[in-house]
Amino acid sequence: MAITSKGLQRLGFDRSEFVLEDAGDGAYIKEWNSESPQPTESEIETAHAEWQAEYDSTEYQRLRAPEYPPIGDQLDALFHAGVFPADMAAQLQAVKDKYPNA
Amino acid sequence: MAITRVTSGVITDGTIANADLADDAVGVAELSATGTASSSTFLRGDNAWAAAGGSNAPAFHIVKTATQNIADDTWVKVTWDSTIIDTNSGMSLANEKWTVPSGEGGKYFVYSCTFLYSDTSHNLQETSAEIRVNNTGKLSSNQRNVNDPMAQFVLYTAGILDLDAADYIDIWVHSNVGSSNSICHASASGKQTFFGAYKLDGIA
Repeated sequence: MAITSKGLQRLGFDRSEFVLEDAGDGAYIKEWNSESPQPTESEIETAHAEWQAEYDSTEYQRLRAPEYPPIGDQLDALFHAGVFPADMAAQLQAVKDKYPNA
Repeated sequence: MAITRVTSGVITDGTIANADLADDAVGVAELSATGTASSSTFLRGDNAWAAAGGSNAPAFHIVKTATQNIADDTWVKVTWDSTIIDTNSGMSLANEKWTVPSGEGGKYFVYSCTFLYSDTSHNLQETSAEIRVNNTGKLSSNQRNVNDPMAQFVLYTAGILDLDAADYIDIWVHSNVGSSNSICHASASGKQTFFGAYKLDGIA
């Protein structure tokens, strides 16, 4: 573990308040622009671990997202299933009638 | 009786005119020019044999053949592992930088290409690359797509820099990514991520 942007953001700092750099020996804070005092490395590491746990717990969301059918296809299926309110179904039907599928 | 031979002692200095010489009579060996005449040299106006054209050395081209994690929102120095060209041995792979050799200051065309991607999902929002001289950014490029994160970005950065002997140049990248890090891509061919420069001979 080391100093990370995610850890600093978890502690409430904005990206504009710091600049991190890594020349090959691990990340360090190159610039500290916040009015608040700089947190310790330990505090940053703890915050990063919290962020990482939360990130890992939502991995299923990131895996599912690209495999779902497009939103348009999902809405079209609802239209054909007849579950849209009448007013919305009429608007969609009007467009379909204007440009019929030859 | 016809005169068949005239010795130099009876010729007044500075009196042989062009018309007294037969065409094609003066050979290369009769010239007093310095240097060595050859098929790759020409005679300059200062009476010296010189190599034709410039060499554009020092020049180097190095590539990345091993991937590297780039921590989120952190400027990270790019590592290199394979030297393709390094005419004057200015590259230090241990220190990931190229140093201008002694006596070789001048204008240089410097370029880099860095290929960054995110591994598990399309959560790469922004990437930047910077060519630094003595750890100060001199040339940079940036790609940003915050509202529609991408899987990969390719940054080509190039320009002319005025370098002094002992100056060093290296490449730094930065990315904003949804996960802990993005990855600086590499391949055995070295086609995607590379770094190089050559001196612009004759440009003051």
